Amino acid sequence: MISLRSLQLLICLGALLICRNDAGANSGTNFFKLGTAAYEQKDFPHATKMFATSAASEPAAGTFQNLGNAEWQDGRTAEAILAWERAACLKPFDRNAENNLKFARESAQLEAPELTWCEIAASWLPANVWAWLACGSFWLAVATMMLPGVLRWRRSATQQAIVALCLGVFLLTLPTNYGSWTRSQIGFVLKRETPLRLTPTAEAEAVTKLAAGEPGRVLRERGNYLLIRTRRTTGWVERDDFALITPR
Amino acid sequence: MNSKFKIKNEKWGRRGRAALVFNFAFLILNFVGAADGTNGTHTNDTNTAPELTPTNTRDFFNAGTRRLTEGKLREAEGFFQSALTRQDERFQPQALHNLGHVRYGQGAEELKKSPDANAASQRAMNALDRGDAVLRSGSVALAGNDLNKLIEAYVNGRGARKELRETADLVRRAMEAHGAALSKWQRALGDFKSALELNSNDADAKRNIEIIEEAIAKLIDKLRKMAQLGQMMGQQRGEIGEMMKQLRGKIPAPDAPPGDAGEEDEDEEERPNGPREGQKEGKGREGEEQRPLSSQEAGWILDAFKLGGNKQLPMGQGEEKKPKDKKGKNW
Amino acid sequence: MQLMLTQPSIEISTNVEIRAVFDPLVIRLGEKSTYRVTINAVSDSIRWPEDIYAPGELTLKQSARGQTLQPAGAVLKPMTTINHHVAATAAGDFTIPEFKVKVYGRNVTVPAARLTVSTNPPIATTDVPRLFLEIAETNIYSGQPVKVRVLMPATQGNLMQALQQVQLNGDGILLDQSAVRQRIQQMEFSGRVGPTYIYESTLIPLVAGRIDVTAQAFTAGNQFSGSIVIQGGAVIQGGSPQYLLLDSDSVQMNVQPLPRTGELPGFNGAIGQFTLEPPQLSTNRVRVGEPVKLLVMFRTDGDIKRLLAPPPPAVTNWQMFPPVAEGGLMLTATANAISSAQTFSYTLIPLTNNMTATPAIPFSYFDPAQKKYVDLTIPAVTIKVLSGGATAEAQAIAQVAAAATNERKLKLSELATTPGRTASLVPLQLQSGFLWGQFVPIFGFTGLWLWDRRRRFYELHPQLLVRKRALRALRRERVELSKAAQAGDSARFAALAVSTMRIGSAPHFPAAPRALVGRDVLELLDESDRNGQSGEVVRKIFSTTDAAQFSTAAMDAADLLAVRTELDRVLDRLEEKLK
Repeated sequence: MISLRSLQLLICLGALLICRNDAGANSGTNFFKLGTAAYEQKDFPHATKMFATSAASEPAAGTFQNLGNAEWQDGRTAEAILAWERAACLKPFDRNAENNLKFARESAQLEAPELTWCEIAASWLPANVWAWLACGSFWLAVATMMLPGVLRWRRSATQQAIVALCLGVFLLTLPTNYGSWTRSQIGFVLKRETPLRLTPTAEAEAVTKLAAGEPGRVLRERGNYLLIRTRRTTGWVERDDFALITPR
Repeated sequence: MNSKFKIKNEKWGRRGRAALVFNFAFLILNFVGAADGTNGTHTNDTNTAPELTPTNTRDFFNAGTRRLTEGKLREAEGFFQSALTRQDERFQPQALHNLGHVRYGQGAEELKKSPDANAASQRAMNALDRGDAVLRSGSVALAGNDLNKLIEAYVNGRGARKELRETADLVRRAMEAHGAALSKWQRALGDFKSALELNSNDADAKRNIEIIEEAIAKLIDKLRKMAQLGQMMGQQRGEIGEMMKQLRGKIPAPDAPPGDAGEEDEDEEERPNGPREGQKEGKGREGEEQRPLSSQEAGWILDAFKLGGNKQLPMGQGEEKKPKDKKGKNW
Repeated sequence: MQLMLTQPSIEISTNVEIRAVFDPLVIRLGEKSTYRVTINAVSDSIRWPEDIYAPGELTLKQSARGQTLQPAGAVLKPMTTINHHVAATAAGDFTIPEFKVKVYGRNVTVPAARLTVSTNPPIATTDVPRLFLEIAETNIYSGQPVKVRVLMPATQGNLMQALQQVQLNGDGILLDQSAVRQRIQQMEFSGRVGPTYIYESTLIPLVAGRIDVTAQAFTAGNQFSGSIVIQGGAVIQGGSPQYLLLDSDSVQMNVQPLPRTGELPGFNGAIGQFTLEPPQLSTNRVRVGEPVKLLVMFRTDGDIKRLLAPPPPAVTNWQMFPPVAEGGLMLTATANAISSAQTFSYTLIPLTNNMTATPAIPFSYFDPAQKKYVDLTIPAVTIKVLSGGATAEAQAIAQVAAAATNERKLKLSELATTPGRTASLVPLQLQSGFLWGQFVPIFGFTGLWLWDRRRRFYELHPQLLVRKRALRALRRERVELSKAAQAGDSARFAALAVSTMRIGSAPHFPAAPRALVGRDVLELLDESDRNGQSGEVVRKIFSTTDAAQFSTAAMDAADLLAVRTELDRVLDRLEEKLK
C-alpha cells in the first residue's frame, strides 16, 4: 500500500520533471524564434548564432534547416551543408534540406558524399527508427517463440507467421543499421583550402587542398588528426578542420 | 594384420613421412621468405632480370632505400611517397626520415647545377662598382661640352649596362637555382620534423633538423644578398639608361657611336614574351597551385566551341573546287 | 578500297639512326644552346630517360619533343626530335657522353655531343632560326581568351621558311585551332628589322594558378599549310625542308579564378569588354501564339567568335527559344584595332495578351580591366500583343507548363516555421545506453527460460518438489522450535516438535503431515535409532502431546526441553532423508 505521503512525493517529482522539460523546451524555442526574427531582418550572423544555440540545446530538424539557411546567407558554405545534412539525418522525409543541399552543391560546385547502398537505404528513415525496428522485431520474434511455451498457449500458424515476419524485418534492418553506423563516419571539410596531409604531423606534405564543404569519410584517428578518404584520395586533416554529421 | 600389407604400409609410411617433412620444410622456407617481405623484390645484379614491382609498403620502402643509396633520388622520392600513401604506421617514420634525405640531396643537386652564389655576388658588386664609375664620369661629361668625353661616357655606359644586364641574368639564374634548392630543403626539413613527431626517439632526425635549419639560414642569407644586388643593379641600369639618354641628346647624329639604333629596343628585347608597352596588367597570383574550372565554367567554354549555325570548322584554305567526275566502277 | 591502298606505309626501320648535336656548337658563357637528338623512329617507341648524364657545369632541361613523317620515296619515314635547353655555368669544352636508349624495345646508342662555351666566341657563320612565344597578357582569368603569337624571325639574307605542327605546351590550356592565322611581316628583332613568320591564335586557360607555356614547331621549308599573308620582302627557302624542331623559352602565365562574389545574373562565361546595340523586334505587333524574333547585337574590340548569348529567362507569359547566331561575324576597323560584332536572334511566342513588352534577358560579363562583373542585360522592348486563336484554357495550360519548368530550378528553401521534434544526432546504434539496454531483454528472456525449465522439471518430478517444500517447511519449523526452546515454552516446544517431525516425514507417505503419528516417524529412522534414544524421544514427545490432546489434563511437557539435543538428531535424520 502506497502511503499518502509517498504519493504526494511522487506527484511533486513528476511535476518537477515536467517543469524542467518545459523550461528546456522553452529556452530552445526562444532561441529558435529569435533566430527566425534575425533572419527575417537579414541579420544573418546573429541568426546563425541563435539557431546554433537552439540546436545545441535541442537538436531538431527544423532548427538545423534554418541554421543551414542562415549559414548559407552568411557565406559559410561548409557549415550550411553540415547543418542541412544533419537536418536530413534527423528527418529524411523533409525535402527542404535535400533541395537545399542540391542547390548548395550546384552553386558551390561541390560533390555529394559517395554513399554505399546500405547508407542509401539507411537514409530513407531516421537512424533511430532502424534501431528500434531491429530491436523491436528481434525481441518480438524471441518473445513470440518463447511465450506460448511459457504461458501454455497452443502454437498456431499466426505465431509462426509473426516470428517469420519479425525475423524478416530484423534481417532487412541489419544492412540499414550497418549503413547508419558507417554513415556516422561521414563528415565535411570546414575551411577552404584545407591541406590534406600525407602524414599526421604538423609539417606534413600536403597531398592536395580540399575545398570547404567537400565530403570525406573518417577511417582512423591519431592524435589531433583524422585519416579521411575523399573521392579522389586519402590523407590526414586536423580535427578542427573537419566535422562529422554525427558528432562524437 | 597381413604382414605383406604391414610392410607395404611401412614403406608408404616412410615415404609419406619423408614427403611430409619435405613439404613442411618447403612451407617453412617460403613463410620465412614472406615474413622478410622480400617477396616480389630481388636484388638487382647488373645482368640479371629486373626487380619485380613492389606490392606492399615494405617493398616500396625497401625499393626507395635502394634507390637512395644508388643516388637515384627522383625514383627514391616516388617510392617513399608511395610507401607513405599506403598509410602504414609502422613504416611512416622511417619513410619520412629517408624522404628527408632524398629531398636534401635534391636540393644539394640544385645547388651544384647553380652558378656559384658567391661568384655571382662578387661579379655583381664589380659590375656595380663599374657602373658607379661610369655614372660619375658621365655626369662630369654632361656638365661639360667636350664631345669626345660625351662619346666616351656614352660608350662606357653602354658597356656597363650590358655588363649589368648579363650579371643580372647570372644572378637571376643563381637565385632561381638557390630558390629551388631552398624549397627542396624546406620540404626536407618538414619531412624530418614529421619523422620526429611520429617517433620522438629518432635522434638522427633531430640532428638532421638542426643541420638543415642551419643550411637554410645560410641559403636565405645568400638569396637575400643576391636579391639586394639584383635590385641595385636594376636601379643602376635605369640610372645609366637615363644618363645615356641625356648623352644622346648632346651628341650630334653624325658623331653618334656605331650600333646606336638598337639601343632603345634593348629593354624590349629582353622581354619579347611579355605584354607590349602601354598594356596594363592586373596583379598576378603567384605560388598557388592550379585550380581547375568548375563544371559550369567548363560547360560555357565547350558551348562556345560548339559547331552550329555559322560556326564551321576550317575545312580548307584554298578555293572550293568541283569534285572530279569519277570514271570507273562505283562500289 | 583504292583510297586505303594509296596511303604510303610508315617505315619502321630496323636500322635506327640517332644524331645528337648542340645547336649552336659554340656559345658565349651565359647564353643557351639546344641539345637536339633526332631518331628515325616513331615517338611512342622511344623510351627517353628522365635524366641524362651531363657534366656538372651544364644544366639540361627537356624542352620539346615532336615527330614528323618525312616522305622517302614510296614510304613515310618517321623522325622524332627531342630538344633540351642547355646552359653552362663555366667556360670550357663539355661533352655529353654516349648513352643508351630503348627504341623499338632494343638498346640503341646516342652518340656523344660536344659543346664549347667561351667567353669570347667567334662570330657565328650559320644563322640558327629561333622561336619566340608572345602572349598578349600573362595575368589573366581562367576562361579568358588571350591572343598568343609564335614568332620566327628570318635568318641571314631574310631567309624565311614555314612552320609545321605548331604546338603550345602547358598544363590546362586550350588553343582555338579555328582562330589560327599565319602571316609573314616585317618586324624588329635584336635590333634588326626583317621578315618574321607569325603564327597567331587564341589561347584559353582552363585552370587557375601558374601555367608555364612553351611553343614548339618544325621548320618546313616552303611547305606552307593553309593560307598565309606575306607583307614585305622575304626569301622563301627552297628545296626539301629540313624539319628542324624549334622551341621557345617558357612564358609564365598567372591565371586567377573568376571571383565568385559579385557575380551578376546572366553571367555565362563572357570575359572582356562588350557593348550592346539596342535590340530590335521583327515586328512590334503580334498575336498570341505567333512567333516574333528579337535581334540583339553584341560588340567587342576583341574576338567575339566565342561569345555565348545569354539563355532566355524563365517566364510564364512567353515561350522563348534558345538564341541562334544570325549571319556571320561583322568586323569593323577602328583607329587602333579591329572590332567584331555578332547578332543573335531569340524567337518568342506570347502565351497571353496582357503583356506590353518583351521580357528583359539578364546578361553580364566579367571585365578583367575593372576586375568586376558588368551588367549588360538586354532590355525589354515594347510590343503589342493581340489576342489570338488559342482558347483561354490552352493559354492557362501553356502558362502552367511554363511555370512548372521554372519550379524545377533549384533555389534556397524558406525557413522552417517550427523546430520539430527534438532528437539526438548520435544514432541509437552508437549510444552505449542502447547497447547496454539490450541486456535487459537478454536477462529477462533468459530468466524466463530458466524459470520455465525449472517448472517443467518439477512437473515431471513432483516428488522432488514435495520434498523440497517439506524441507523448507522443516527448516522453518526448526527455527520456531529453537525459539520456543530458548524461550522455555515447553508446551509450544512440544507442539512444534511434533509438527516438525510430521512435516519431515510426510513426503515419505501419501498423507498430509497432520495425519502422521509417532510410529510413522519411527519407520523412517534406522533400526538402531528406532530402538535407541532417538526412538525414545520420538515416542515420548508424541505420547506427551497425544495425552494432552486427548485428555482433559494439562500437558506436562516440562521435561521435553531436556531432550532437545536428541530431538535435533532425529530432525537431522529426517532432513537428510528429504535431501
